[in-house]
Order: sequence, then structure tokens, then C-alpha cells
Amino acid sequence: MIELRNLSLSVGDTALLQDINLSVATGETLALLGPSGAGKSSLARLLLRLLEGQPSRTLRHKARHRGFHWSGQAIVAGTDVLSASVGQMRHLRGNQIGLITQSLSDALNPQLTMRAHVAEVLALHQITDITPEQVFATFNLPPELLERRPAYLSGGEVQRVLIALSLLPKPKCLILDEPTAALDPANQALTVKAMAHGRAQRAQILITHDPALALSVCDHIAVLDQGRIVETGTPRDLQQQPQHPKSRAMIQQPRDTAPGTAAAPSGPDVLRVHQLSHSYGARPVLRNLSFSLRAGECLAVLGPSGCGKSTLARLVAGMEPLQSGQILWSEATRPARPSPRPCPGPCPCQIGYVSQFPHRALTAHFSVAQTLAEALSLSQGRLRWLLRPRHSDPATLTAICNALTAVSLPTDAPFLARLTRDLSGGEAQRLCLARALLVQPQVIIADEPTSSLDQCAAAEVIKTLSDLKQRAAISILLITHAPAVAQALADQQLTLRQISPPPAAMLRRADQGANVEPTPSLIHAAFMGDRPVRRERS
Amino acid sequence: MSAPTPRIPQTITRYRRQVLGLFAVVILTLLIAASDALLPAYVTSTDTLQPPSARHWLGTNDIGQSVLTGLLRATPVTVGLALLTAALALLIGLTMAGLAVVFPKKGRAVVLHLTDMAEIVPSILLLLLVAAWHQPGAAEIILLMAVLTWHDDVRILRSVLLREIGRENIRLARHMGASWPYLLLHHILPAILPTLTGVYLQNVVQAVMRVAGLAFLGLTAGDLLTWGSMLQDATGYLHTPAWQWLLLPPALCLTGFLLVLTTLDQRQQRHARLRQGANP
Repeated sequence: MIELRNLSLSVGDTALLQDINLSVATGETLALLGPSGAGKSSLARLLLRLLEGQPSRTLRHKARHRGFHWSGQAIVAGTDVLSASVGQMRHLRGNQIGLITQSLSDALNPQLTMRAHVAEVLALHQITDITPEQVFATFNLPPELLERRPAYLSGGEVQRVLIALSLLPKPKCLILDEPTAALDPANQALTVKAMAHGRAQRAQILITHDPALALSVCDHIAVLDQGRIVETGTPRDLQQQPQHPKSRAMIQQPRDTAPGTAAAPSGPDVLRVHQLSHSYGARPVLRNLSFSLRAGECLAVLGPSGCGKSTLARLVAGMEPLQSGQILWSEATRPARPSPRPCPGPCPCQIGYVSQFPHRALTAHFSVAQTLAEALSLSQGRLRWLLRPRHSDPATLTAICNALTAVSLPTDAPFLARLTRDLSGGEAQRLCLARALLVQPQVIIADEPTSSLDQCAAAEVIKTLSDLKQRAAISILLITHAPAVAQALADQQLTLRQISPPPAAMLRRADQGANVEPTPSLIHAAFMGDRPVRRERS
Repeated sequence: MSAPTPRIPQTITRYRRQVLGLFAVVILTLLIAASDALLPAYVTSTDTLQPPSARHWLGTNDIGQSVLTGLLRATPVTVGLALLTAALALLIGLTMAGLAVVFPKKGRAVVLHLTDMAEIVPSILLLLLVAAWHQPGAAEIILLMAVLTWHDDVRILRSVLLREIGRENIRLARHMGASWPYLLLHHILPAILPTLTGVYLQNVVQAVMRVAGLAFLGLTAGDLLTWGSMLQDATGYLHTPAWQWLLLPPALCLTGFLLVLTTLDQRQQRHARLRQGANP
């Protein structure tokens, strides 16, 4: 049902994909496995013709053309989508081809409630025998989400709603672009179950960087390297005898053998969170949360999606106003040099915040170099308001290249000049991390820093973070849903639990299983200084 | 960690289009300023109401002035009036929207109430009233029309500004210590530039129509030569063959200019969509 013949895709004069030949029959699922930035998402968008660009043969100056261009054939549901008219495509999309995007992009309408989203799809496809409530029940979604808008949904919930929406019209072909990247294991299982829903009637292409997922759900796997398919085979073949070195590296790489962290650091506390509560409207997200973070320590916050992990990160980073409770920073995190302007909010400037949604956190019209140069100038307090951040002097350039190398991004001039809106999800995520590193932070707050990275890149990022932790004694507040990442990095783990609407205890120490006791001595303290504090940890 | 030292991006070649555009604007301004001296004099003669001929390519009007000379002289005035009026209206609108965003309590209340009032008052009637009372010249027309039309843009601009300021990248940069003027200049303005251009082009279209309308009603100063005033001169000769060379040329100029503006607007929108490109 999906057949690609000699498909090539380029952006400007760089080839992203070359001579892709694939065919997926009805009832089959093919996994497209490749490193981040390989053009996987662009392929997904191309198959639905959502990519702005044109066929290569209509271009006169290929090298000077900056957008996407393509050649070859892509037959989806009997139509060559590369030469289909706008009207044909409009008919195909939704009815015949479904697309599930990376949850990193804003795929839901911020103005509509979930009920309105479902009702819209039901009306569009004239499905009358099912109500939005039944849809949510079918796809294992909690019914209270129906009246919420996308801003009040967690990343995982958004992803599951998207899957439900695209499966409703029963498309013949389904393209899944990293459907589980942002999900915790429990949700991942639910999503895989949702994906399996009626899969005998359709052809599926699953685009992913996660070999475990590809191996478990797919009939065939194609491994992508440098724009070419280097190997195809069944999961069993690939798992037992991968032919190509790249697929061997990608599939058989042991999951995170990063060394167990050294003996627990004994630095002073840099951050102490005391009786933190937060709610969105009438919905409580966090209640009476207390913990502390020592210098050079990594605290991992785990929990199911929608339990308030990201909210916690944003609160601690000072991106969201504090409602109740206290977040206390030690004097060490205050900048040594007098700041030209006092920082807004209670939190010091010397923290690096890595957002869960990297594209939202980057200015779309800035280049990679400008983004980093700006962070560097801001951290050194030498940004004047009329001047653009400069990145031409050698010192800045070296710093930028070092930061990029630390997160294993390329440092060549074309990459430095690329606009952040043209980066892939994984590249943008690493760029956010590089920007956080440039600030010379005491504390890094990383919200899902590896969720959209392939294993090699994720391992690099984890190694970078653990290096920083050990060498520079930087504390890390790590928000993640992947227990493997937490185990590789964290000295302490904190598991949040979803607050059920009636009051309940909401927090439990993963290692102790006891409620966290508040520390009354800190209630009036503005800064901790050297005062001895009671630790609730063993 | 040793990293290869990349080449410095070629800033001159990157901004080549902007530099060319600046040159074009400067040359156009000079041409308009010098048009009075360059163009033939717009004088009366005894050849009244002559049809197009080798001597007068577009014929003459009732007092023997060449229609072609009139058109050439009216073009920079009409276009300039429209461009400047639209720019001033946009500037006032942007300032008001900025005030409403920066001061979310008092500023917002004041600006939005002002906008409401300006919307309720029928601006075209007010314009007619003021124009009839005091026949305005070029500068007064610009000021008057900008003051009476800025409210059209305020709501759009305010929502665009609010959207941009609420974005995570702005909040993060602010958090890292960037000042508001810096953010406005380098983060917000480039991001809302497509919207600004669209609003500006719409303003120009409106302004052209309004200027032409005022002149057609004979409410501008007598010596201000615009396409609209030429249309007004032609109305007396609609029942004679003279309408063909008195009415059609300015009307076609007006239509052509509006067509150019609309095309520019569409191209600009397509371009902006293309530039948003790879990642939504």
C-alpha cells in the first residue's frame, strides 16, 4: 500500500535521503530506524505533502534553492503523492493516510478543548456511531481530559490524543513519527496497544530512533544511515545477525552501561524546595513537595505523564510564578560578578534550563551560532540592546564549538549558519542543552533531555551530563520518564504520583516509600547559608 | 576538546538583498523629490479637451493641461501619501498595542477603550467633516488619516505581540537576563515582521482608496494633484467623448496600483509560509 521508488529528498544542496526504495503491504508495519537529524521526519511530512518545497526537476539552480526538493515516486494508497494535485492530496489526507507527529511540535489547536478536537474529526469523517466519551474510553484516555485545552495536557497525554484522532477515520496507511518518544513506559505500552488497534487493515511506517520499540512491534526494519537505507530485514534477522556496522551499532548497543555514579557527593545543598504546591485553576498538580539537591548531585524526578514533572521543572527554573511553598537557593548559585541588572524572580541566573519542547524554547529565525552567542553574551552580561550577539571573534567561536562538541553536534560553518527552525527534534534538543552549558551554570534543570534522541546521541548526552556533574560539581535536576536514564545519572530518585482529585498523599520517595517530612526550620529562611539542615534522606 | 575553526559567515553577501532594497528606496525618494524639476510643467494652454495625439499623448483637459503630465505628477503624490499615511497609522497602532501589552492593567484598559471609541465614531464622516471645514494639504491629509485609522490595526498587533511575548523562547531569554529593548529588536520584531508587512500593505490599500475618495469629493486643497482629483475633474465631461482620456487613465492607474499591492501582499504571505518551513 505504501511504495517508495528511488525517492530522494534534499534541502538546498545537501541530500537528506537518497534512492529510498521501500514497500509496505497492508497489514505490515515497517520501522524506519535512523539517527536524529537523518531526515526521518521530513520523509513523513513529504509522504503527506506537508513539506513546503518542490520537485527537483523544476528547479534551475538547485544549489541556490534553500528549501526542500525531491525526486522519485511515492505511491501511497494507489496515488503518487509526489505528483498529486492539491485536491487529491486533500482527499487522501486523513481519509487514506494518517500521520502521527512527534509530540514536540504543536499539533493540537490551543483554542479547542479535547472534546472539540474529537468532535471535529468525527464530523469531518461523518462518524456518527460513537461519542467523544466512547472514543476516549477506547483509547485508554482519562475522561476528565475531555474539557481541557492542549496547554493543560502533559506531553504524553497530547501524544495519546493525537493517536486517537488519527486512528478515528480508519486510514489505510498510517505514518507514525516518533509516537512514543515523549512517553513513560506505562504510557508507551498503552500507545503501542493503541497502534496495534486494527493494524491488519492498514500499512504502517513507524519512524523511530528507539530500536527496542522497532524490534517489538514491527514486521520489517529498515536502517537509515547518511540518507541511504543500508539494511532491511525482519527484527529477528537484524537482532541476531546485523550485516551493516551501523545497524549493529544502532540495534545491539547495550542500553546505557554508563558507570554507576561514584560515591554520593557530600557538597552543601544548593537547592531546597519546601512544601511546594501548585495548581492550574482548580486542578492540583503538586502538593506539599519537599526535597533538596546537593552540589554535584543529580536528582531524577520520575513519574507517569501528567503528574507535574514539567511543572516542577518550570517552577524551579523560575519560568512559572510560585503559588505556594518555597524554593531556596544557596548563596553559591548567585553570580560572582555583579549583574548589570538584577534577575527577575527568586531564582538566580546561574542555572541552565533545558526545555521539554526544544523548538518552542528556540527563536525560530536565529541561527545556531546566534542562539549560542546570545546565551554566552547574556551570561557574561555584555549584551547591549542594539547590537546583535556577535559570534565572529575567536574566543566566542571556540566556546560555541566546545559546547556543540560536548553535545555531539557538528561544528562546521553550514551547521552554525542553520536556522533553528530547520533543525530536527533531536538536534534542537541538543542545542538547548548546549545553550544551557554555555551559561556556566551551577545547576542544570533538564526536562526530558534525551526523549527525542537516538541511542548513540542519548548516550553522548548522558555522558556529557555525568562528566559535568563529576568534574565541575554541577547539580542536575533531571526530569525524565525513562528509568534507564535516571539510573545512569541519578544519585537520588524522586517519584511523583498523579494527584487524584480528592486530597491524597501525592509524593513518595522511591527509595524509602515514605512520605516526605517537611522541615519547619526552613519556613522563614530566605537563604540557607551555612546553617546545618536536617536531611530527610538516609 | 579541539574543534575545527569554522569560516566567518559572509555578512555582506547575506544582506545583499537588504542593501539593494535600501538603494532602491533611496533612489526612489530622490526621484520623487526631484520630480518637480524633471517633469514638464503642468501649464494651461489653448488646446482644450484635445483627444490623444502626437503632441499630447493622452490628450488635454478642459483648461488645456496635458493629461500625461498630470498623471506623472500625480503618481508620486498619491503613492507617497498612501505609503506615509499607512506607515504613520501602523506606527501609532504598534505603539498603542505595545502600551497595552507592556502595561497589562491600565495601559490595556486605556488603549482598548480608545480603540472602541475610535471604532464607534464613523471615521469617514469625521474625515469628511474636517476636510470640508479646512481643505487639507499633503501633510495634513497624512496626519488626519493616520489619526482616524490607526485603530484598525491595534487588536491584530496586540494579539500578535501577546503571542510572541508569551512564547517560551522570549521568557527564557528574559530569564537569562536579556533586556526588553533587545528582545523587541532581535526576537520579537523579526518574528512578527510578516504580520507587520501584511497589515502595512492592507493599510496602504485603504489609504489609497481614502485619499482618492477625499480628492474625488473635492475636499483636498485645490493645488494638490492626485489621481482622485483628476477623476473629479473628469466627472464634468462624462457625457462627452472626453471621458475616455480624462477618466480612464487615472482610474486605470488606481486599479493597477491596487493590483500591485494585492499581488505583493499575496507573495509576501506565501513567502512567509515558506520560510516557516521545515518545523511547525
